[in-house]
Amino acid sequence: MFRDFCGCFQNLRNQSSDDQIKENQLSMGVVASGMPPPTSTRSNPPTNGEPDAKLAKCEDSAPRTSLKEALKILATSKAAIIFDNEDEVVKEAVGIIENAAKVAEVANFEVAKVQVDKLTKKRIQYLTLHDSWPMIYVKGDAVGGIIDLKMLSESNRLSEWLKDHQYDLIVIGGGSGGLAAAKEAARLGKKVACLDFVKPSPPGTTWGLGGTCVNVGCIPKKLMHQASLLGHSIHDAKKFGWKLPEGEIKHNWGHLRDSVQDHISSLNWGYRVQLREKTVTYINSYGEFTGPFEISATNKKKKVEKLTADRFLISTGLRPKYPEIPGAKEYTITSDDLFQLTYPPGKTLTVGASYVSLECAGFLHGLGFDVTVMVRSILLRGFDQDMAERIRKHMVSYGMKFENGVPSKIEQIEEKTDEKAGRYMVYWEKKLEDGSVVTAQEEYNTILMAIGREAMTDDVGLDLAGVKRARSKKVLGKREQSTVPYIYAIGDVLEGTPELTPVAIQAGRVLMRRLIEGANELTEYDQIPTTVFTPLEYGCCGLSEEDAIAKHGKDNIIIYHNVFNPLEYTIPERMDKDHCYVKLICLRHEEEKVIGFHILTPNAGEVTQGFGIALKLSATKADFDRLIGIHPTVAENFTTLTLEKKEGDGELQASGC
Amino acid sequence: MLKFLRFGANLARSSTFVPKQSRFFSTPQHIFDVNSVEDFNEKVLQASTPVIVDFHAEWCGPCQILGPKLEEKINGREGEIAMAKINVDYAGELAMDYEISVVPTVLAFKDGEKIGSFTGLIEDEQLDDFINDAISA
Repeated sequence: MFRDFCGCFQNLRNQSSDDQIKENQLSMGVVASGMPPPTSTRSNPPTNGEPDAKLAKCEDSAPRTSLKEALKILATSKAAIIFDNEDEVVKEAVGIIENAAKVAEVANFEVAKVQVDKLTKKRIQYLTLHDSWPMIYVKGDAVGGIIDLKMLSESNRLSEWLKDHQYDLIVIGGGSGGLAAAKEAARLGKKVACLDFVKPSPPGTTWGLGGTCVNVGCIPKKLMHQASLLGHSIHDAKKFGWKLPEGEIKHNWGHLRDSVQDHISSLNWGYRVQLREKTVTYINSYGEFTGPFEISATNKKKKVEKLTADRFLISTGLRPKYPEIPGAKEYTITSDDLFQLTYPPGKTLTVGASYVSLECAGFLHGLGFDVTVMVRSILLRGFDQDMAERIRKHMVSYGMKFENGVPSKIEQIEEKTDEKAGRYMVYWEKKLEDGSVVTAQEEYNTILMAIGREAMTDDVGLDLAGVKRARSKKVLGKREQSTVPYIYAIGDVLEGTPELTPVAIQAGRVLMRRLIEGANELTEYDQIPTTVFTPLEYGCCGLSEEDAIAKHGKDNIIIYHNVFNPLEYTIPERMDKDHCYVKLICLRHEEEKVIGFHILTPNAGEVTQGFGIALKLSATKADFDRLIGIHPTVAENFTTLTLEKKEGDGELQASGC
Repeated sequence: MLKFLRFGANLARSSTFVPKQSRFFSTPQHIFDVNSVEDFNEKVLQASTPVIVDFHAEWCGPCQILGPKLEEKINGREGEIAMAKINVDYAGELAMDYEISVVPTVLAFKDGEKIGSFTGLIEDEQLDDFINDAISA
């Protein structure tokens, strides 16, 4: 009765769905712990999901198990082998596994045999990226072929694996991906532990559950971007007739920081509650492999707890990199620290051409700070360079400064306090127009290093576990599976996938459904819409011009573009109006299929999210043309593109309506 | 509602009722902070009087309104009932143990047993009833 007056984080619990989860847990528990031996065949049609009816004992003449059934058996059996013809290899594999089961003293153990047709084989090989055949699965994880199985068996890992462990899944890293995966696995009835521990940044900043995005990334960044945009809206308001008090309109950094941190704290709490409600065990400890199936979890008080599991997920993410120059670690901050900064940053230098650097520089400038961006070469490596150059031009018009170079040394002039930023001298090699190099120096109150981020995989015991890493220190994966069949990685820490929160969340959920239920589903790592929240936002989906040319050849693409003037910017005469731009990259053939979408505009994030579906559905330029616009909006410019972008064309000029 | 929450949060910053600070104020003995399970066992479960437990957070607007109200009412009961304040961000384990999913959540304990609870902001009269019920339980 008291619930009418809601408090914070009111969680509307649905009793029936809770019951559903419990039911799932029960039924999954039965399937996972005691899979009966394969006795029935397809001619004995499966009835109401009885586990033994799902298994097919395949003879040469026997009909093949369907893809759906096969995936389910592979996911839910303690061990399974999938083949198209039952040959000697199958028998040998079954023998190896049964031996290991004996060593492990697993009772009532039998290997599920799944005979499939060529199409199913192809799909399963595609889903797992394993090409050895017949293929062996242990506890739902694709092991590979007989050679891979022998290696596991010879190192005694196979029998260790078949033993019971404390958890079905241990997730190392409670960020966007790890939390999503942990919750999904628990929803599907698995016993899950999620470890999360934030090592303090060099200046000592730390934070709560939820990972980079929530604490030191997307969330505080977008809120501060919004604070910066609001500053401009105040000025615009006057032009729209609002009478504002005379005098300087000032921003209070401490107030913004507190409001942002309050919101983050509420999110931290919300995640904690969600984990408990989904019955995920949350452990605020640093996890490290100390055995093939063992994690040592060290908490704040240095107390170590040993945990074992059948399966592991590495989702430890990335942290900012520091350059190896004198003064960097002592006197500079990173995006890990900025959003909790106890003092207003003052005159700021952001170092790096990453989106982190540009976004932070952008909102700090918008909040009224004197900001310089120092870059070695191009901005936004990997993004469309025509768009990156447009962003730079906009930022320069906006009053931000750019320096070419790399800091060589940072000295402290005055130490910072909790209330006041310090004073630091930054030295760098500056290339003059005549080609000569001089050492330049400038004083700043805050230096933000945003030169890149590195994978947090050094102290997780990955070498001991046998997980191979790329040069970037990220985990190498077949899909999301590492070189150890029962260890997976998702999110920023997985090599070759985009470093974006929604990608990690999707990957976590899809992976868990695939592993636990045998879902015929993959995370699609292409055509991902994304937005850089620079003062004028840049949204894109699909390929950059450079990538489109590299992939399809210059002659095979056609680019449509235009400049436009958002209606909202006309009355306030905003300088931004000269920088708004749209571009569609299409294949010249294939009915001008759209392969790249780019827009520089206010609210680019909202626009790009919606249009992303068009690229997913293989929209052509003609589809964009037959779409009717919403007038007056910035997004409608995509429905009226006729101008072809050609080399040597001058700058486009926006005309009137 | 959002506006209201934000107002509450601002109020928290500008008032003296910020939980972090309140520890250093000379509050009566029957109003205290609890930050650990051990503390909770000693001061709440083994208390000789009934205790109401206010699970709150600094970032929660309604908490900043309810907390002072509760303190005032407990102060008016001349030691018949005590109040434990638990910041969920500092005592997450306790909050999880008692399955708190909303702040504010207020529980009432007597002789180590939970005898009542409510969540969110409630009317003054209901607050009085809640405290009366805890005392006479």
